[in-house]
Amino acid sequence: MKPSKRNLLKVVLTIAGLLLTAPGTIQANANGDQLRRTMADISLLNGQLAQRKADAAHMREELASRLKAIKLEIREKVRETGVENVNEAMQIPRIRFDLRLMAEIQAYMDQYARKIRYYRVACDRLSYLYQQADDDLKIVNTLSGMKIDALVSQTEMILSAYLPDAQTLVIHPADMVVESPETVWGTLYIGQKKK
Amino acid sequence: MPENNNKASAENGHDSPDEMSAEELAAFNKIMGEIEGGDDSSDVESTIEAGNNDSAADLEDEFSAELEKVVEEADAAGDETAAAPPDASDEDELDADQQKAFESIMAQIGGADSAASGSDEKEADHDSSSDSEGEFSAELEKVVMEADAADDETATESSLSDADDLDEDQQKAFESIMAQIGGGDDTAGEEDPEKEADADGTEIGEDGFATEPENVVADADGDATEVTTPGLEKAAETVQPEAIEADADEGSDESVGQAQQEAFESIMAQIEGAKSEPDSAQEAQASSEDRPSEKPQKRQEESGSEHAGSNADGDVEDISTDIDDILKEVAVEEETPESPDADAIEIVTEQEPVDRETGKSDGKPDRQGKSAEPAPDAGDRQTRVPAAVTEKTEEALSTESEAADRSAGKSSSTDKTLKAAVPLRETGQSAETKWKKIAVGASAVALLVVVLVGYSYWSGRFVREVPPPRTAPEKEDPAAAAQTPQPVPPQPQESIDAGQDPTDQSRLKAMAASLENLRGAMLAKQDEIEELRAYYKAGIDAEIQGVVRTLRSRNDNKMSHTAAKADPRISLGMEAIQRRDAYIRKLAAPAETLVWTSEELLYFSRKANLLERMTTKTSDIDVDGFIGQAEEIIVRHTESLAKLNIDAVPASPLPTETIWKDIVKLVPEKGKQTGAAVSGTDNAAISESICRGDFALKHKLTELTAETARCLAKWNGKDLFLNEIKKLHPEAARQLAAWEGEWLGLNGLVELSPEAATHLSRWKGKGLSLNGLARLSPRVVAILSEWQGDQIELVNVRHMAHWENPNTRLFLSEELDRKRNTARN
Repeated sequence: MKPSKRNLLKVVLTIAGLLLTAPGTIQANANGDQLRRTMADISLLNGQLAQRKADAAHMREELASRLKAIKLEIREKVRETGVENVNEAMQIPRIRFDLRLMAEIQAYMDQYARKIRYYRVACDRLSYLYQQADDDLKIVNTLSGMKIDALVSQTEMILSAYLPDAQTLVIHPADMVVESPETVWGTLYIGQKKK
Repeated sequence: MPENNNKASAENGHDSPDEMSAEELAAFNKIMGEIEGGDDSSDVESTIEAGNNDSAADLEDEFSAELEKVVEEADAAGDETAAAPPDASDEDELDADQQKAFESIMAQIGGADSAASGSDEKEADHDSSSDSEGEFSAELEKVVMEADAADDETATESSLSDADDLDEDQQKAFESIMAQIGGGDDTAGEEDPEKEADADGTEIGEDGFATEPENVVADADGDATEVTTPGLEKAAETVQPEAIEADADEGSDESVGQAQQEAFESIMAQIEGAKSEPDSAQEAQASSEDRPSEKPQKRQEESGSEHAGSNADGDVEDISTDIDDILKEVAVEEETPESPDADAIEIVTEQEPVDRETGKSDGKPDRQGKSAEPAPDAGDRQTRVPAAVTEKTEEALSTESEAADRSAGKSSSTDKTLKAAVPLRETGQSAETKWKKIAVGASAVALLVVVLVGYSYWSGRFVREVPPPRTAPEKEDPAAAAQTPQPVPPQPQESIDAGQDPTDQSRLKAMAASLENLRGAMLAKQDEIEELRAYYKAGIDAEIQGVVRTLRSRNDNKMSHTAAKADPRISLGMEAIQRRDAYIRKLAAPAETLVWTSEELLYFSRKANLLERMTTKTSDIDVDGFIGQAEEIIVRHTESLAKLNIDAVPASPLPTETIWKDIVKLVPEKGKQTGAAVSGTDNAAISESICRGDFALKHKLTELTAETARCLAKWNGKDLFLNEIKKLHPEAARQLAAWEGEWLGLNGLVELSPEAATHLSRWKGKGLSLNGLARLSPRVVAILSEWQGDQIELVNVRHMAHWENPNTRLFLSEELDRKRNTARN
């Protein structure tokens, strides 16, 4: 059976079309894969940062409950001893050391609060990048010629910036500001007065 | 050879066997006369038969005569040596056989016989035509065998049995010889059917003949040949010249007479004198005469040996020696530098060309069938025999072929055995070599391994340091983590233990425990100091009470300080109060120090717990710094705890004047009512009413005298609450202890003397309330511990010594109870 010229022409055109569209298809597939990898990285890092944020919030809650217990102990001691001013309070060892401990706990709580804010922002940014990559991926799957280099580079930069904080919470003691017991006493006394 | 024999007989011009018989008979009688000195009936018969022959006696006739003579000698010897009765009884039959053989020989000599005759006639023709030593030997062998067949059946049977066993080996040896010869032996094959028709008596000689090539092959192969069977070895021993000579040397053949020897020598002389014309026969004779002339004598000597028909054996031995010589020559030609086994293999491989020459395509058996048919080109093939192989060799080989062809029925299996035997030898050799090679290779490999292991061990590379297992994951490098994106799908992950060394938590926990332990020790010491202070305080009170009582007893409440110092009892009391007060004030300093240190330790312990909790999910916390501080605190406070003392505490003693003023204040003025009276409570009226049995106002008593207590003891109620009473006199306590109620309340008491406590401890009630007491001396506590009631309430006591009575439940304040629990833990 001899193929007709028309069929031959169809075959030739099909092959030519495949040859012409192959680079574009390959490029589109490469972009899609790249975007998928980027989205996976973003999702992974986002999950890690969210977990760190939850850890920070949990620790902050624990410190807050501990701080509350110490405050109660100080007030009980003050009531017991009849202390009315900071000097007398400083003479009571339990009150003095409780105030000191409160100051430190408060400092840690502030650090955890900062971390929570930091991770919240990070998660928001990563969510935004994930959304952008998802949008671009839809376009890449539909059309060709979509440039994703900028998005990929930006994502890599952001990921690199957040990655060190993804594994664990980091609190630098040098960044902590610990108030004096007298200052804590002042806040406590003011609170008592207000109450 | 038969062809040559026929040709020779034709040339001799023998017309009829009758002519020859006459001459032969004459010669025979002559010889027999010489040997035996008489004639038998059989000889007469043979003579009569021989008389019909017309031909004149020539050299061959003489030979025949001599042959007969030898036969007779052999028979005689066989008769002498054979001990079996059948041999003696069958003399006539033996003579008949001999006569028959003799007739056939004569017929052959006459040249009248041809191939149309029977097998016996063929044999006779064959014998008569031979002028050579080979013909003589063959005929001699045949006749001897016939005679032996009748003489010694037992010996023959044993030999036959041996021969039967050796057939295959013989065939094997024969083929190997044939292969060595390489020239083929067609004539031998042609005679096979004739020989096959021979009587069994010939097998004796064939045994020896067949075993001789085996010996030759064994000699050629050397000691490496191990295929030889015992039967074959036995047969070989019977034929080996050395063995025969040994038998002869032993003198076993005494029956052989000197006359026989002389006759035999004469025959041999005649034979040698007659052989001049045929060159081929001379060559064969020359090869046969390579042996020394002693052989005939040996043969005669061997006639009496253990094998019957030893003459035939001697001929066979002669043939064997010839074959031995031939094989030596062949072995020299075909000798290779390789092992004897290789020679054996080569012999086998050379067999095929011989078979091809005989017309066999496959070189396998059925030589008999081939040789049974007269080959048209037999003469041509004969010319192909190597020059080194003489005609005698051909003759010997033809005799060998007879022996081999006799077992033609077994030729197929013999060839198979041969074929199988040679590969077996090769296989054994190759297997041995193979095993040797394997052993050598294994040894070399083992040696190499040992050397390598030793080198590695001594060079230190054998033992490699194994890195210790990580007990904790190292902190991940942020840069590395940034460069390696996580391929894992997004999942909420737990933090990697805060990126801290997990030992931080354990260190913090251990540090908290250490701090708590030290704090516990501090609190215990603090309690001891407080108890001591309370004790001193109680002592002071006791001294004051004693002075007051003294003053009351003297009813002197205006005694001056100087007068009091002059009174020794009051003066000592004041000094005791002064000293104890000083102790109390001195003990205040270490107690306060202990409070601070214990609180500091509590702070560090709490902080340690906080840090421990935080380090689970937070990194970069200065755990090391904290632990350093805590360790320093622990060390310092431990040292301070060990160095606690009151020596360095500055405490000026309280002036005695001040002490006296306080005491004087406690002494009621004369006529001045007590506080109770002042307050309006008429303790006397209540006391009187109680003593009258009215107990309604008992709870309003502010003072309890001994008399009132005695009256109260009579009350039948279960509960007695006297909470307005501030002080309990020991005598009143003694009277009150007699009350038989269950619950006694003295919650107004702020002081309890040891004496009063002693009386109270003897009360038989269940509950005792002393909630007004703020402090108790260790002595009072010890006394109260002896009380056997159910429970005692001391809720306002701040410091409590060790309570020794576990059966009495002690109710204390929450703080004191917590302290006690802490100290207990």
